[in-house]
Amino acid sequence: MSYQFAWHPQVWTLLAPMMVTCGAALFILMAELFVKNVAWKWPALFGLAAATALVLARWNTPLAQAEEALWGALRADRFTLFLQVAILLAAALSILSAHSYGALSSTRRGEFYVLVLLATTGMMVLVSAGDLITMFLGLELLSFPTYVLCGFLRRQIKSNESALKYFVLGSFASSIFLYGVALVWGAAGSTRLVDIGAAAPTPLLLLGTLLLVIGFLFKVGAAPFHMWVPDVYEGAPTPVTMFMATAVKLAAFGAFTRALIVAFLRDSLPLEGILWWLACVTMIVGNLSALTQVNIKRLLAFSSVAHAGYMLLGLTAVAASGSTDGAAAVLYYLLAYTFMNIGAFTVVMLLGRRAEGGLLFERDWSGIARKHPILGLAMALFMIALGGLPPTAGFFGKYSLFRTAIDAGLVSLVVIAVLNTLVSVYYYLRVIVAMYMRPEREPSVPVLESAGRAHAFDGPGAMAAEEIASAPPPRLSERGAWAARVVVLICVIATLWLGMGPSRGAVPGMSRIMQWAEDAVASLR
Amino acid sequence: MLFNLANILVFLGLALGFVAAILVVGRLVRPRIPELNKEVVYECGEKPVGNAWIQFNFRFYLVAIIFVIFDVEVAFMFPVAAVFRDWVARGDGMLALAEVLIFVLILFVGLIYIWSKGDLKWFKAVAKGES
Repeated sequence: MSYQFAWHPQVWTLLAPMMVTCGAALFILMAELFVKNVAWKWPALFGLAAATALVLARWNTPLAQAEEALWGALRADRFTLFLQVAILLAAALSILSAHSYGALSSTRRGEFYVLVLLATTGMMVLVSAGDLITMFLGLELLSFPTYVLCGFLRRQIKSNESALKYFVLGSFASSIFLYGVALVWGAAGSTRLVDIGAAAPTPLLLLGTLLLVIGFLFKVGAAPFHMWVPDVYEGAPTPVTMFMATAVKLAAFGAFTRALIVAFLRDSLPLEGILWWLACVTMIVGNLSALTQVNIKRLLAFSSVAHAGYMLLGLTAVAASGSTDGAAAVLYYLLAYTFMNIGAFTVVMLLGRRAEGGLLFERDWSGIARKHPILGLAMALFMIALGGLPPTAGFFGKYSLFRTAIDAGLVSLVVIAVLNTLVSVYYYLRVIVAMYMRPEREPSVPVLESAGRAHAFDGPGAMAAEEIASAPPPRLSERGAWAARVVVLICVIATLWLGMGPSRGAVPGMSRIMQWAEDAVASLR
Repeated sequence: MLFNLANILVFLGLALGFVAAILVVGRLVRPRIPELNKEVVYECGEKPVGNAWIQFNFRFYLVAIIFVIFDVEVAFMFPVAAVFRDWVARGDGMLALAEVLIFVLILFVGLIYIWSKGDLKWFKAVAKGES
């Protein structure tokens, strides 16, 4: 197989956004060694802004000219651009939030921004990959920094646990994905998605496809590959959790959607039934597990599993009908989910005053809305949005997902999804009830719990574990709280704005986002 | 085809011969001062006899990771070397060189970083108040 060499100037414009984020990461890494006491978030945010500008500069390229580079390894169609902008946005909001998180924003912590930028680079590669090898590269470049970020509070035992669990399970999932790549290559003779889409459907191809699906499902945290989600989300520093819950999900779902539509969804491969059951199980498991959670971060983690289920519903609709409307709804939902979730986690960070402490919302958060009326109101809005009530982004996102699913004839699955949404409203409202309708109480003492866990260890590591557990929990820096408030404000505005969807035309620019999502999906084929 | 296999055999012979030659030269050149510790089986600084459930010094992991990074770096350069001549013939030699240099440069940044953080020293000074 010989490829014509095609290294023309357009390749540079395609690669430029990723080179900028990667370059910014390397710059901070080097500069940190020689310059002290610098607020590294500014170079990081500048890098993200420059990359966004470079992505947007390509926005008006006509759809037909979706460009390939490096023999189809990278594609810069509208789908790529849409997701890259969303990912860069999520990364920027997470960095801003992290500024208010004392342990991450202290001046010695240039590494934090380096890792976020590198993970962002990986995500941008992942969503633009038109080749399974490039996809794997992006997946790994995304994963490694995320593993480290989870364990960033290295004196906190929960952070350590989070990083170790994510690393062990994540590398296992990566190897399954890689095995899938190998089998698909064996069956199709190529790792390019376009070629795989044209290959003969053999049992080997189906097996490889299923292994790839497992790899993706792990990254998006869909059942039955969701067991890591609550522990990892709970232990990771909150800004990292929001980064993982939004940006990683955007990237993994984006690549999954592209792989399905370009290569794997066709009549000869029976993926529809598998996706049907996966969506069904993921929704039910996520929502039912969230019902009993007492820790707000675990609750949001299970809610993120449930949301992965709703998005799988959209992909099932694509599989069932062959129309790509379902994928457009998924893209819209991903965007809406990004704002709702970043907002919710930022409020969690601000309200859990003692950072990783006061997270047991029924106990620590009772009556907190009287003390923090604005944050309480914002949290209530995000909870309503995650529950899918109007007039928020969550409502219109779910509405378009369910509508495309009904158009595709998946009535029974939509009934299950609606019942699940009703269940989910219960636990989202529990948070609001705790904040508004309970009397105020003294916050719990967070250190006791983690100290108790340290004794679970025995063997040579026990001493180290106790030392770790007795380290004081990271404080929220009051001085930098403005950044998190800005993030909350942005997310409130975006959640409301994206929720005005049904009244197309009433709100300027609204109908355009759905149009962008549709254009993005249309550019895949 | 068989000739290619003969190539491999020649390499095998050279490798074995090299090992043997080095051992012989070492035997001839080195001073011979027998000592009890030297007679112990070599196991990377750990005692070779005893319970296997011991805690390894984590510095071994650090050194191993740094080694693996640069090992893989070289492994990734082999494919480029394999096609480099074709690229030069096509007039793209400088491009391939630039690509490899970018790759090495990125890893070099990592090397400077660990160097400056003191991770190349066996005994690393831990900064006060680091959390």
